Amino acid sequence: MKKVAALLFISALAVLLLYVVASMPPMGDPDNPTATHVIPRYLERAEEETHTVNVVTGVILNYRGYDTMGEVTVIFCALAAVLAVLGRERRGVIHGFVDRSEVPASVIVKTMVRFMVPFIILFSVYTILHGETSPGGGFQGGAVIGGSMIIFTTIFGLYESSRRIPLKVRAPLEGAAVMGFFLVGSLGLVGGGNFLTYAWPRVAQGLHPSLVVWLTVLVEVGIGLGGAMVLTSILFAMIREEEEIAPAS
Amino acid sequence: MKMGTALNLVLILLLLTTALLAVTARDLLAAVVVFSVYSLIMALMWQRLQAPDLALTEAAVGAGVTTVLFVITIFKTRRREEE
Amino acid sequence: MAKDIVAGIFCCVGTLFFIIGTTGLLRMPDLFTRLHPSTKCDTLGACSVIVGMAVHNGWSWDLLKLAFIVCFLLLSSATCGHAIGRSALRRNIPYWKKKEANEDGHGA
Repeated sequence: MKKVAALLFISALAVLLLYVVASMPPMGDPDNPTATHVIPRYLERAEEETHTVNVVTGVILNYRGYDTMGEVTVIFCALAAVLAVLGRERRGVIHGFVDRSEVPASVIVKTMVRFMVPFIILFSVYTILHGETSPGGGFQGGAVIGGSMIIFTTIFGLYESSRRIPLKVRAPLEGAAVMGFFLVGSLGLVGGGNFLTYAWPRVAQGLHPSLVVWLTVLVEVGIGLGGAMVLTSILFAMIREEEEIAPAS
Repeated sequence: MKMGTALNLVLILLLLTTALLAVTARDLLAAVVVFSVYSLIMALMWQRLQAPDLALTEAAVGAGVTTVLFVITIFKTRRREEE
Repeated sequence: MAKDIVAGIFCCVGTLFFIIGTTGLLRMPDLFTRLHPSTKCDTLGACSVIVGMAVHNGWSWDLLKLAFIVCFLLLSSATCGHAIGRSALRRNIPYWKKKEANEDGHGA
């Protein structure tokens, strides 16, 4: 009985959804409601107003800066929640990583990771810094840095990787994304504009128009560093063992 | 049928299959692997919808970072789903 | 025109290798034999497709990027295969042994 009811409900839902999908406007049609509202303004004037060649970055960081700032805060809150549950390592104490795997990583794997990680980080720096001209940006680059830290930690263990990014470096940088956004947003207030109007328009654009681009890059770097450190901290909190062992010599 | 439409259809079918497999798998490690494949196909679809920014994010976060975090969680807890 | 044909041939060869690799992955009986088609045909197939793309693209800076992709693909795929094989060997994962009673030739 229950199953029949569920089946009926799902069939009705499927019919409804298919009906709605069939009445949707075709994809990529210039007469779509989405394409006639604010999109033309974004596409026509983004480069002139935000000075970013990549319109997506212009929209994300400039037109919808509040939205992105909220997202960045959500990521920070996620880290806070993870640390509230799992706990952070204490300052000054280097936690060991109890390697429970039956097979330790071989020399070949270690050498390859040692060789690859710098290239991965180089790629992510490229992704972050070129966010305003090509696809990519802070979120993507930060995730790639986080991925490289994950590779390094799984092969070399928590001791080696937390020695390279110690807590006193990680902790201040975790808030870099929110802080970068807030500082750049406040610059708009100082210049007499609104919050998050980039580069206090009258002052900076009188001085040099490319200053806006540099502020965008600053926010991107903040998001990238912050995201990377948040991911690394979540990883360390998850992989950390309760007992502390003496570091391997 | 045009070439692009056929490719889209294949991708959507793969997406549906991997989504169903990820939900129904009893072995959680298998579910995680299938979920990472789902993310990869999703990244391809973003690229086909001309959103390379999202494709990059999906490939890095979905297929890379979350998979490892899930695997760590499984190793800290249990591999099999309870009945 | 000739460029397109050469690129197409390379891409077809790559796809063929992918098909062979996937078939091997599905049909081989145990982990060690499965590792053989999956890693080998992964590198060969992907590299052929990328060489096809490079031929199609002609001389440009994109060629350098494709060369880097090939390099990293070769390195990481080989390392991955090594890590899986070594880990399986150390964990004493059983080998596949041919059974006399099994006439159809595949699998125990």
